Order: sequence, then structure tokens, then C-alpha cells
Amino acid sequence: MRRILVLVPTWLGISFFAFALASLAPGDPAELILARELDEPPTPAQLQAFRERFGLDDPFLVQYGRWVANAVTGDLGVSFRSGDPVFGELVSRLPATLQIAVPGFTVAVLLALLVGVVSAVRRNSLIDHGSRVGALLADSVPSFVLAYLLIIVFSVVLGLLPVAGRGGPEHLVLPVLTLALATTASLMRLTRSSLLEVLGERYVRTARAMGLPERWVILRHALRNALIPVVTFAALIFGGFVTGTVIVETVFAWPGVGKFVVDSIFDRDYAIIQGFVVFTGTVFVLINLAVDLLYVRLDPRIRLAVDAERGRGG
Amino acid sequence: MRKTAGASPSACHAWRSRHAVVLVVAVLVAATLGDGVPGGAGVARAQEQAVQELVVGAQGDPWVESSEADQKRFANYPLNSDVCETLVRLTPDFQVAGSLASNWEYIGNNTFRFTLKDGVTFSDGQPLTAQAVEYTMDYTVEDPDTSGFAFLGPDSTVVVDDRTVEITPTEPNLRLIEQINHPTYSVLAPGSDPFANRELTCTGPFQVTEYVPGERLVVERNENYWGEPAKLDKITFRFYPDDTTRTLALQNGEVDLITGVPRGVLAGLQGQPGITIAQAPVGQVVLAYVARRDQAGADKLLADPLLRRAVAHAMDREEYVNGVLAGNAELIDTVQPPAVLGEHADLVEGIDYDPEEAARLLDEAGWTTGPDGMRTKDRQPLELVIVFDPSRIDLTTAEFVQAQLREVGIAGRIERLDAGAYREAINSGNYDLDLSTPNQNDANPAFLLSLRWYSKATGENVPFISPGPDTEFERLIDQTQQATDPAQLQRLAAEAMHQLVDVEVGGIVLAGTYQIYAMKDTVQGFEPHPSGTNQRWSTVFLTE
Repeated sequence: MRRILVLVPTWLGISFFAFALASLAPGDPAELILARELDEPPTPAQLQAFRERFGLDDPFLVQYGRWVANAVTGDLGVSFRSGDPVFGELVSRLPATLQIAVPGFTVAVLLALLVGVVSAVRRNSLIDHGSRVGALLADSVPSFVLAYLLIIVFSVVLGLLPVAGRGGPEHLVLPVLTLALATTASLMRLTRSSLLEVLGERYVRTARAMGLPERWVILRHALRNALIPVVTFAALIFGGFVTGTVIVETVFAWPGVGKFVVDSIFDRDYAIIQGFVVFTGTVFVLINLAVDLLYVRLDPRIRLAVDAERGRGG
Repeated sequence: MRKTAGASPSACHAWRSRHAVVLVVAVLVAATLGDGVPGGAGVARAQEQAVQELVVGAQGDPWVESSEADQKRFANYPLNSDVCETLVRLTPDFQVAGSLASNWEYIGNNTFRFTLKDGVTFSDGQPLTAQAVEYTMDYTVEDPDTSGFAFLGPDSTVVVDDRTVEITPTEPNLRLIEQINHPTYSVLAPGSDPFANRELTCTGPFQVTEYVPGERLVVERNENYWGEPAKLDKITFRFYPDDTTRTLALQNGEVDLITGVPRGVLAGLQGQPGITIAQAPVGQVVLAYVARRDQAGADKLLADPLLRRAVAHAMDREEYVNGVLAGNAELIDTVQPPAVLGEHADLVEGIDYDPEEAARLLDEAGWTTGPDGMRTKDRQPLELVIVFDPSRIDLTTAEFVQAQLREVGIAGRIERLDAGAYREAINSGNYDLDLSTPNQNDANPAFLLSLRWYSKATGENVPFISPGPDTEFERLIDQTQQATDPAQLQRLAAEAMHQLVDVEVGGIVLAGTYQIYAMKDTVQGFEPHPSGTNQRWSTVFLTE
């Protein structure tokens, strides 16, 4: 409950800073949006009408106060560009983003865990060296280059998959792979180093001395404790995926949240920027909450500390 | 003990593993449940070829994150899917020709009369009437923010009879005929409201059958078309915002034709078997707007005519066309496509590359060369601020200009700005050279001149670049506003452009550019229009 209440000051803080930054950035939304839709410079009367319609002539604090007052009633305002409600604009694009974010994250985590564990267990083996070199390469390749490489290989050369666009399951493969491969490397390295550290702990040696099977020692005892930093990092990755993956969405013509928000920033559509900031803040606070709960599940010592605190409080 | 201890966790682990796998598969399957078309290339696509379906790889969806004004132009602008038609149309040589109107004339008092063609019907079978034109114009201009650039108001259009309509702009505007061929003024059937519901009934050779925002627009042949029927059964416009992806989609065979081919990939595509490149006539001009004054009205460096002319002489335009643009452009002298000036285009002479003359002019203006080769006057370095429109000009062009200036001892400072900051810079006069690429989308030969350099124009950046009210340029633009004869209008516009380019050096032309399309060899009958927003598709067909 306390963590959920934290959302309120978080929202206020980040929305204020986002509002301030957007206002300070050079560029007038009226000028930008009207010039684009008219295909020529707008007249002063058109600019004035636009500014009056969206209250852009009001002082910064008045604009922000009005936004907060509306936001607490669930009204995040309307987009300067489309005139449609901000909430609807964001929510309508979320399914497309989730459609690649969820499988992308799943593949990344599974691959990272598998390779990371094998690499740690078979330290300094050919597999370990190979996976580390692979991770280094994957980390060095920008995601847009990776995306193009995958398109060229699987779509243009082999003709197995469509180049881009949102459609059936085959349209998912390349964007999901791009997202997954771009993040697997760092997650895998973290898994490996964290597991190696845990494998040196005394309780692991004790477990082995007790004759427990190696697989059981690694999976049941070592990996579970090694996962704590991995979970933290993975949660951040997931947050990033959910709040939009601009490059992947642009390259694969995927109509998600990321590209939409970047275009809004270029057009100084403050209403969308504000709505997105609140959305992002909420996603990260909720993910952090989920991670904290997962910590308790993964590490009994944390559970005991929480229980002890509860006992003192009660 | 060991066996027991091992068996139980293993069983437990196996159970968990199975569930994990099922969960992952379920997540993947659930995530794949989205709407959309299945498949890209393949059997289904091959079968569809039999029904003459053209798949076009277009740039980003222009209506998905757009304003009310843009959404009202759904399927018409900036991507023209050939669904609607205007009263008059823009020909590829930028002249006005009849479309839905068989006749048009200026009848005095700022009023134009249009007579509609006989036998024209909308795609739903209802006849075209003057009431539809009135509905369209009123619908187009009802948004007070965007009442259109032709100065039309809610009372501008009056029905005379079923086949006659009169249009009177709200302000003196004799250029209405040249402007109203813009797709903004496409005629809709009464009741059509693309902004509210994407409902669009028009008279064109195609009609919209499906639209998935951000993904695709599908149009099919209008079987009730009043003119020559379209050869294609269906066109699917798929949106690919990324240039490289769009190109790869053509190479992969996922699309038949792509728009907006990036110049960087052109050389690679040109050599590929089975792919044809089509270039439209020049429809855009790469130019530098020259700022003479700052926001306070004080002279900037380029207020000096010698310096402006020196900058123009410093530009090796041939090198720009053949080097930077790899020959995919034309060397022109006019700030609008020369075709729009007709036979009078030669009145604009242009300023040739002549670094010696540039150096002489700079010497004459008192800028002396220092030991580093750069020029100064009274210890003030000669430095010009270069800004460029990030949506139309790439950094390479700005760097080319910078390098050319350096050759004659002028330092160029490139300000790399996003769209918002760029607009702020040009509206506050914080630049010396503004690089942009204006398009010509109507038949008005003086449109850019009167929009950007005419002192009576309302644009915020006009005061910085206008030659000023007491100039020959201004007098000629005044006359273009009053001209009623198209030939006279072209001559006056050409004379004004001569004043601007050759005398005032108010705009420095770098090149004329054009729309580039790439397509499979199987695509035939495609006639690229110099104005991309006026592109038509009804003549296109596919061969085996």
C-alpha cells in the first residue's frame, strides 16, 4: 500500500519536471503543428487561435496547475495534434507495444539464463568463451544494425519472414528477436558473473559436500540467490520495453507507443509528453513493486527481515 | 537417501519446467493474437497478383498522429490514393486542367465561377452536384485554425444551380484557380466526414475499403467511375516509416513499388535485376533562405549585397548535384520548379560558381584574409550561422555549404536542431542561411515568392529575408496578385524571381530535386508526378 501511495509524489515530481523541460525547450507547438498541417507558415491569427484553444498563452504554473487538476479526475487532456484524449491515444498503442515487448522480454530472459548458467558452470570452457565473445559482439552492435541484419538474412536472402509490418505470428519474429538479442548479452553476462560469485559461497560447497546432485545445487541453491541482481536488471529492461522501443518500432513499422511519443516530442505536444511521463512513472513504480515482492520470494533472508519489521511494527 | 533426495526435487523441477514452457508458449501465442494481415510474401500474395493488386510501400502513415485538418484530408493528402478529385487538376508541367469542372472563369469582385462536368457520379452512384462542392468547401474550412491557404470562409461557396458554383475568397485572391487544385480541396459527397469516421465517398477511380492506422490503407477500383476505369483492381498502401526497411521490403518482394526512395540506396537499387527506378520531373528545390535582418530589424551580415553575392558564387552547384546528390537532381536557377514559369523560366539567370569572383567581392566588402585563410573585418571573423530543416535536408547538405564557404574564407557554423528548435530559430531570425526544400504542389508560379519573401506576407520569418517593400521584386509580386491571364502571371512571376535570385540574391538555389520511386519490372503504366501529393494511380497495371 505504501509503495502504491508513493505513486502520487512520483507522478507529481516527474510530471512537473517533464512539463518544465518541455516548456523550456525551443519550439512553439502551435507553430510546429500548424506549419505541418498547412504545409506553409501559419498566419498570426491561426497561431493565436491555436494557442487560445489549448491555453498555451497562460503562464507555465497556470498551465501545469490546470493539467494536474484535470489529471486527478482521470483527464490527461487532449493531444495538440489530433485533438483526441491523451489516455486513449496511449492506450490504443499499448497492445502493439506489448505484443513485441512481452515475447521479446521472455525470449531475452530465457536465453540469458540458459547461456549465463551454462557459461558459469562450464567456466573457461569453449562454450564459456564462445558465449562471452558472442555477448560482446551483440552488445557492440546497435539495435538498428541488428534489425537490418536480421531482415537481410531472414527476409531478403532466405525469404522466410516478412520484412516489417504488424500482422500474423511471422511478423513478430524479427522485432522480437531484435529486442531479445539486443538485451540478452548484458543480462547473460550479469547472470554468469552473479552465479560465479554465488558458486564460491560456503553454502554451495556445503551442499555439494552433502552429496546433492550438481544440477540441484545450481538450480535450487545457487541460481536462486544469483538471480537477485538479474531480476532487478531484467525489470528495468521490461520497463523499457513496455514504455516503447522506438528503434524497433520504427524499423519494423510497428505502430506502438515509442515512436508515437518521440514524434510527439518533436512536435512539442506537451499533452502527450505529460501523459506518457505519468504512464512511464506508473509502469516503473509497479515494476519495482513487483521486483520487491520477487526478492522476498527469492531470498528467505529478505522475507525474514520483512517479517521482523512487521513484528516490530505490530 | 541421495536417490530419494534427488528424485523428488527432479520431479518437482520437471513439473515446474513443463509449466514454465507452457507458460512461455502461452505468452507467445497470446502476444501474437493481433489484428492484421497474415503473411508477407508467399503463396497468398502470388494468388492476389491475379487480381491486379499493387502493393505500395509508402512512408509513415500521415493520418495516424495528425490534426483535424490532416484527418479531413484522409486518403488524399499528403499521400494521394486517387480516391477523390478536385474541380481542376495540376498537370505534370504545373498547369491547370479541368477535372470535375468543365469550365471555370473569373467573373469579377474576387469571385470565380465553376461549371461541373456532366455525367460525373460518386462511388455510391449519386450524381456530382454543386451542393457537393459547397459541402466540401464548407467542410474543409470550418476549422477556424486551418481555414486553408486559399482564403476560403464558410460563406465563400455559393450554389448557383445544380451544375454551377461560385467561390469568393474572404480576401482578395486571384490565385484561387492555381491553388484549388491542391488535394486539400478534393470534392466529397455530402455527408462524408473522414475526420469523424473515416467515411469518404468521392468521385475518383478508386474507393477506400480498409484502413488500419499505422499499418495500411486499401483502396479498390470504383466500378461506378465516370471516366476511364482504373486498370488495377486494388492498391494496398503499407506504411514503412523507415527508409531502409521500405527499400528492403521491395527487395524481398513484399511490395511492388516504394515511394520516397532514399538517395543513399539508389545506386544499389539501380543495378538490381527486376527493379526499375522512376524519377518525376523536378518538383522541389534545395535552397538557402538568406537572413538580412534580425528580430529588432537591425542589419545582419548578409544585409550586405556584396556578401550575399559572394556566398552565391561560392556554391559549386554542379558538385552538389553530381557529388552530394550523386546525379539524382538537376542544376536549376529558379527557387520554384522551372516548369511552373513556362517559357519564361529563362528570365532567371542564376549565379554561377566562381570562387575568384566571390573572393573579389569579399575583398571589395572589406573582408580580408588572415593567415588561416579565413576572413575578418575589424578583427570580427566572418562567420555565418547555418540552420537546416531536419525533416527535409540532411546534414551532408549543410556540411557541403559549410565546406564551400570555407573555400572562400567564410566560416560556417552549423546549428543542428530538431524540428521544434529549427522553427524557433527561423522565427526569431537566429541564423544567416536557412537550408530547406520547398515543394511545388499547386500551379501558382509565385506561390513561394509571395509566401516567403513578400513583405506583406504574414509568416513570422518573412521580415528577416524579405527584400523589403520598396523594391522591384515587391512591385512585381503586387502585380502577380492582380494578374488574371495565366501567361501574364508566369511572366510576372519569372521577372520577380529574376529580381530575387539574380539581383537581390535573396535565395541561393542549390539544386532541383524530384520524387524517386523504385518498382518491380512487373509494374507498368506508372507516371510519376512532380508533385507527390498529386500522384495518380489509375493508369498503373501489373504484368506477369
